[in-house]
Amino acid sequence: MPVEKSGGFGYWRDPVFLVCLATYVINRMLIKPHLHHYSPFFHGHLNDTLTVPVALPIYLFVYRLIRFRPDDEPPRWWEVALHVLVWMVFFEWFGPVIMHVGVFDPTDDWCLAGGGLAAWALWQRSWFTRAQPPKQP
Amino acid sequence: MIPDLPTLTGASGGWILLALKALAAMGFMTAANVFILYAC
Repeated sequence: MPVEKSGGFGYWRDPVFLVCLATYVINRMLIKPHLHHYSPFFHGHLNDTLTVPVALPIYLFVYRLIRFRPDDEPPRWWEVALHVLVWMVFFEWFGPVIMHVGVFDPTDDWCLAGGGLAAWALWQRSWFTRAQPPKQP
Repeated sequence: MIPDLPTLTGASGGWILLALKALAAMGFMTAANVFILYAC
């Protein structure tokens, strides 16, 4: 692991990542197989909402491994925004139109962006907590 | 003036190395996106 700077972001050990990954696995293994009717939330929107908190730490870890990411700080707003933008184009245009996989649904974009915003806020909260000066007695 | 690489990225290396890293990152991103598209 490169060690130019360390910011304490755990990547695959990050609590937000682990909780969201567990939610995804539970939905995929336990909830979806037992649904008798199509549920827009469990079959679509939940996965879209979990995309950023589950996928981004893995992407950033790989960038870190190849030393493209210079430190271990929590995901920055532009890292989240850039990936959300790429995923919107990829999953909502490239997939359905070019690869004929999936369907275009504007709601997916909102879920992706909302999940990204929520994950970013949670990641910044730990950064904010660490950045606080010690309280005076 | 072109910024110094460590200033720009915080990483060590030259511009060619940075371009190679960017290429590798984009390659990983594309492969991972295709995986997500089909598997998830």
